[in-house]
Amino acid sequence: MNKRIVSIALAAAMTSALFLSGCGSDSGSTTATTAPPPQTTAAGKTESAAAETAAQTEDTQAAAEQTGISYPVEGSPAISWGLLRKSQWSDRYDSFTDLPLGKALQEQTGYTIEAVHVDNNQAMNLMIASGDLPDIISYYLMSQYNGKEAQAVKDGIIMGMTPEFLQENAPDYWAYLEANEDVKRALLTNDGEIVAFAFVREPGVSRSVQTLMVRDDWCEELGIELPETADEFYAMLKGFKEQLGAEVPLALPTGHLQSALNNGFLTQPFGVLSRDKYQVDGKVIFGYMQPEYKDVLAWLNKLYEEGLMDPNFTTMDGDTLTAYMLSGDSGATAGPIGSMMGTYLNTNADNENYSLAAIKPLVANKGDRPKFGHMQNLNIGANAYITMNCKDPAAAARFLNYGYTDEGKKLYNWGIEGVTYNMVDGQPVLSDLVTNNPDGLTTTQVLAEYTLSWDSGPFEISKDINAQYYIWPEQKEAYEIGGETDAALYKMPDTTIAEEDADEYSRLTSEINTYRDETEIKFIRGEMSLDQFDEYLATLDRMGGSRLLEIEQNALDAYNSK
Amino acid sequence: MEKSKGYKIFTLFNTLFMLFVAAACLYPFYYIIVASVSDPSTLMRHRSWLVWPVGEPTLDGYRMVLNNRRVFSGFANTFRILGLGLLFNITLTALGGYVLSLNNLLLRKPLTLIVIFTMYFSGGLIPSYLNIRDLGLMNSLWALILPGAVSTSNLIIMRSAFMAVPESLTDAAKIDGAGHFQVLFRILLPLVKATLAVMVLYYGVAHWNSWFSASIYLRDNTKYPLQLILRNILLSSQQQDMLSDVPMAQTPQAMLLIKYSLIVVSSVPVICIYPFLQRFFQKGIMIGAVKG
Amino acid sequence: MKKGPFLPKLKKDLRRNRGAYLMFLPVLVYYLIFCYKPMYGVIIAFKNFIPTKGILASPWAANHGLVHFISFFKSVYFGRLIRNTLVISITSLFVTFPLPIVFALLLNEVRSRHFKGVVQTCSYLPHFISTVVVCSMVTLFVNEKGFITHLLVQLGIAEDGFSLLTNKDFFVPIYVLSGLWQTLGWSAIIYVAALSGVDQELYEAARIDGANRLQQTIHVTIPAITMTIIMMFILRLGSVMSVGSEKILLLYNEAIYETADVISTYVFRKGLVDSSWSYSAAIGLFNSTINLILVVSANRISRKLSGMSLW
Repeated sequence: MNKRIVSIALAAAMTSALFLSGCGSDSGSTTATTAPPPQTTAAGKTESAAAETAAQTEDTQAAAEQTGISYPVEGSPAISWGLLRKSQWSDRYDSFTDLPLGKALQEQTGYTIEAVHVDNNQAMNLMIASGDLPDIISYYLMSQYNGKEAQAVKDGIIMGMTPEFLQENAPDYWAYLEANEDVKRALLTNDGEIVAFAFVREPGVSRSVQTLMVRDDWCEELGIELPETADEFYAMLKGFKEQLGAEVPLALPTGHLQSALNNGFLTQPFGVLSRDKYQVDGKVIFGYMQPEYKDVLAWLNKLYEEGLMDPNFTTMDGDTLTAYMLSGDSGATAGPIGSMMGTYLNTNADNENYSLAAIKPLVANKGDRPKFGHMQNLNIGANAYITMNCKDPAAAARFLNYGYTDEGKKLYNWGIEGVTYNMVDGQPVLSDLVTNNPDGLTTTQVLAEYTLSWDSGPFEISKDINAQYYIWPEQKEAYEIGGETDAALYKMPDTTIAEEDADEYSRLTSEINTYRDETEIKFIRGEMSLDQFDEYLATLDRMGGSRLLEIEQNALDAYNSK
Repeated sequence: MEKSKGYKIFTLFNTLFMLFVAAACLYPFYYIIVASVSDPSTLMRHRSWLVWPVGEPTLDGYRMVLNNRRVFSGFANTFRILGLGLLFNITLTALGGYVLSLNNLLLRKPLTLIVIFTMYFSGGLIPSYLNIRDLGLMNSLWALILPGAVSTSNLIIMRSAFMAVPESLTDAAKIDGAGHFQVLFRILLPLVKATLAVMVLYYGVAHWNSWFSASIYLRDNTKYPLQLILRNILLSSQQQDMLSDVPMAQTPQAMLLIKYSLIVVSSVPVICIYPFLQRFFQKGIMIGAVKG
Repeated sequence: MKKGPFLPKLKKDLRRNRGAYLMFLPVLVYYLIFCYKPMYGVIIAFKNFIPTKGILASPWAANHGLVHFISFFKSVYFGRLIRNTLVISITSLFVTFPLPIVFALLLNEVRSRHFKGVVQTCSYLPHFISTVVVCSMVTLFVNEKGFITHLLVQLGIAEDGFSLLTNKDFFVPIYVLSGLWQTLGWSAIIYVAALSGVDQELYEAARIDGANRLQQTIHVTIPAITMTIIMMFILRLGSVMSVGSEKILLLYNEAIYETADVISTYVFRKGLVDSSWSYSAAIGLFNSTINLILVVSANRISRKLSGMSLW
């Protein structure tokens, strides 16, 4: 077998693809449909399938020239892939490659995957620190590496990919980036290199997946509308407590309270979009440093003093929250539509007297459109990185490109046709195996075996699968109204902190955040009087608050000029 | 033998105190057992003492735990680690403790210092990790056995036990021409049986409870020891990933039952081994009492 | 010891005690490979560690390599972290060090061997429960409905309706007493073993001299285990600056950082923000240096006062 000639031919094919794709950014996605369908053959037939594919490859040479890559690739290249082991499948399978997903992925791409599993983030951090990395790692370097992904490229841990490299070896991924400029910018280093094969969204996938939720059946019982303003919300909680006997009307453990405040769910009536940072006309603002933030705290203090919030919210854990929300001790909380709302609705499915509704972030005047709301960063989730240990980055890129082709998207999102989904009117629909598993597995457990869409990974998540995850109408509605804010205007983008500021930034952030979190709780619990709010602001400033703001502003300016 | 009144009162209070300690230490186990067969929905709302199972008793938790094949491989791995580990632990600790207890050794002090220094100074996590990798122990059970083969504080306890043996006992043997090995194995070890039992207990429990090394050095979950599996399950509901926005893989109720049942199942071997160790330990005490 | 040139003496000693040195060889090999070989890694604290470059080739940190130490010392929380660490560890020391000795002594007074065995077996049990479980039970007992909270409310010490873990004054007692519960029986093992070695003839002699039980305990039992006690104390002093993070992380919350936040939890939170290996190595080095100073001084003082020492 003359490998060399094949690879030269391949290179030639790719070069022509490069010229073609130069003409229009569409080429990747349109031509991908002409690629041969993946061979999902049974294990015994692999050989003949391979021969068949080889024949097809020759036949469809023209198509290959257009797409750049036709799967499965020839020569069954080997690739090692470092991944976190997930508890959703680890009690039933030993390795990613044993999963139906892992097997299908190897068959469809033609690659032989060697999965290198680690138990948790710490183990992955150590593996990174040791410099002993597999060809690819799937991980969260944007949050787990000091200085984020750009620094990991500088430190020589992962490969920064030039546009040319991506055009040549990952045309479908490149096409996505070209079509989605904001995502590309979030993944670009200041040197113009792309850092990752990122977990990206199909246009139309909402980034708002957290919400305020209340017991609407209780509201009905009280004869009130779903609350829109802080006063209405307060009145509702009061009604829950006094008329319906809810012990702790609003159940928000510290973590959930903080993210509800960061998402602007409770701050907007008081003139602060979010507790966290946000931007107005290119200017960075920290909500918790604003004088208006005092009113937010005063309102929360009122809820606390009147027993509308759990007096022990700082010690409340996830299990207690779940118990409160399921049992009727509480009637309002905030959090993810899928994992919280979904779990509550699933668990109480048989209970007719249980219903939840999402409400919009609270606003100052009834009928106002919320300016802010939950919105995920663009760069979030387990991205795949080609490491510097990778001997053949081009081969790795061609493998990772698969998640952005039409066939690859189907696999990563939906699993295997006829098994986990069926095509109904040209639309994939999850099968009974998933939604009503005969072995008693939950939807999440089945999808964890066949897809990555329940989690994240190097592929483009489809907007339809997202919709199918939300099986309850309440969730679908929550998803709808989550998007009805102007958060896109005010949300801080995925900026990169300048290298020379990175250490100072991480020190300031950790110290100021600790002080903020602690003091905030003292204000809410009434251990500190709100008269001392000015002192709090002064302390923040003394701790370097304005310097922190300056660093963030510089990062935003740099991002906007990228 | 006549006993004073004060002593009798003391004995009464002492017995009561002992009963209290035993109860305080037993109750948590009792609590977990009761919780593991309680109705999870009721249990979630129950926030105080647990004297009797609440709600309809159920064995679902045990069914789910016994259906989890990781639990069995976890047991097997833990026993493997315990067996091999203890062999290394006891041999090396006895050898080291003996040599450091020898009075007439010129290098005794420097060697003792070399050993003790390591208790307070270490290279840290990364260099140790790199060391394991360079030794080729990654993803091997040896990475959990060798790095902890000697615990310095145990070595010191062993050394003191040897030092406490009257020299007259070993001198006689030495005059008869016995070498170090013979002195150690024939004379000393039988005399310090109680301490050896303590060593087995200390090292054994350290192996039994350890999970961190396994979590960073092992790659295959078929090699995971029980404690790591236990920990991953116990903490899995707390590691709720904000990103993977799907309902929990298990209902909260099922999770609760699995947690408690798993704690019970994972404690069974310890409770079974106890009486055996305890007897051995008591025997050690008796020998200690007869001695001299 | 006889004076004389060292090398010939050493040669003679090596020859004479060849057996003993051979026996120590595997132990020495263990220490060299697993403890001393990685020790060069402490220089990470003076560097900006970059994984691909390795420990030795990573660039030196700013300010002559001291930048990580300086930024720790300059942190606004430095004083509080040191104070909390010391308060928690010294309180623990005063409670969890002497009480197991008392427990062992009391156990020694139990005449029924059977009862003694049962009590002792029960007393180790908490040691086998993993920290995660211990903390969830502690939380349960001190939450707003927990029985310990009820008790304290009735005594007028705590406020009704609040978890004790939201009150900063209760954290140290909760931490220390739950620690005592975890370790009482386990730490007593060593003393029980030491007590079992006490020569019965000594008691006999004391009785003949007319000593009652208490006097026997003071004059015979305690001196017999003094060496063990001193040794254990010196060992224990070496960890005064290290309060483990796992239990505190599972128990504390923002409302009580003021008394509960310690060096190790601070480092953990720093680690969540970024994997700053060099920074945490610097704090680790700072901790072990203080521990080392404490142990060396304690050892020296003990040798002066009692003639007993670890080395």
